[in-house]
Amino acid sequence: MEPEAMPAPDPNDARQRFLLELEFIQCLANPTYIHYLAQNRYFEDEAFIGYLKYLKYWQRPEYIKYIMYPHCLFFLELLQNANFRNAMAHPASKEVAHRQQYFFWKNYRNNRLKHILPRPPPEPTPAPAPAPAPATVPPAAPVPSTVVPPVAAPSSSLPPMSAAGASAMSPMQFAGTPGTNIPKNDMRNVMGGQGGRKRKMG
Amino acid sequence: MATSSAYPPPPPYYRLYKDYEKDPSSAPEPPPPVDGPYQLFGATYTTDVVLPSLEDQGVRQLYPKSPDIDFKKELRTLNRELQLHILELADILVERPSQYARRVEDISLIFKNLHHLLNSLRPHQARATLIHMLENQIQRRKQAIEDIKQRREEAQKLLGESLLILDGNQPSLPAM
Repeated sequence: MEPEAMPAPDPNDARQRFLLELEFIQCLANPTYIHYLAQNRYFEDEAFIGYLKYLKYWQRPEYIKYIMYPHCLFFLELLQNANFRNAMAHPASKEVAHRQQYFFWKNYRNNRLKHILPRPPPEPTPAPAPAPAPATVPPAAPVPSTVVPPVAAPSSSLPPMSAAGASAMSPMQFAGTPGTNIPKNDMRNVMGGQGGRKRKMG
Repeated sequence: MATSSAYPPPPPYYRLYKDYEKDPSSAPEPPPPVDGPYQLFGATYTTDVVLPSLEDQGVRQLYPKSPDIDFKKELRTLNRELQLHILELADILVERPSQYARRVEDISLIFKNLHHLLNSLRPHQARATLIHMLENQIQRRKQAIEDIKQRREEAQKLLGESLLILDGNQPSLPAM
């Protein structure tokens, strides 16, 4: 069903459209859903590609505060790349993306805390062995942002929902909140993984 | 196709964005952000992040209603009342066990008031934590500046001594 152009924009219709797009863009935080879109050939539709570009307006400050799953903005940026769209049609690439998303959720915060917490002056002794986490640590650059910390999406269903309470959580002392630019740098190995996987399959 | 899949299909009006990259005005504009409560994935959210008052939640307020509340005094008073009510509950359980429900309700009411007061302090705590973090950052940067100045003075001192040694060597050279 294709909606016709309405003569007068109804505020209730705009509200419903806002909520519909808010739910759809947050579904993009789930690599399995992106895989489902690729399997159903939505990415081969030129109108859908234009729609993905149009959805980038959610990165504006007045819209980004409604995002509960900020990973969707990262995946939206990746979906602007035709190579990523083609790669996500393969189940192996979906598994790589989901695994890296889990590692980001598990390791990024701890690794970043090591960089922003005050440390004593460098000792002459050699540095300890690096953590075995596969997620790379970006340079410490605190970004002032109100983005909610990223959450992991389960592999077989949509992201779980937790109702936001009226009382705000008190921030942890010296705890930094990752901005929208930090996850992009950190999950860059996803593209590397995609490239490697694609080369192997091709 | 869409009805048999486990995932919701994209909004059907994405077909209107075929020429969005060439001509952004050919597609509908983004809708304005909503205000107030809204439904998202079956849960209710609200843009008005404000703590509802006890009366709005249907709970009796035990401390005075004023914009300037002495949190310390009220919290201590409620804590004392809580201890008294727990003692009364112990007495009631010994003498008249069937009347424990009212005491439990009173204790629950005091707990709700205590919790509401603590929640009211959270914005203040957030601001105080932020101030503390910023002050620590300023202190660390000032310390770094002092360290840099100290090392600069040490380096200049060493350079001065080197220059003095060089100047001191000049008389020892044979005259031309």
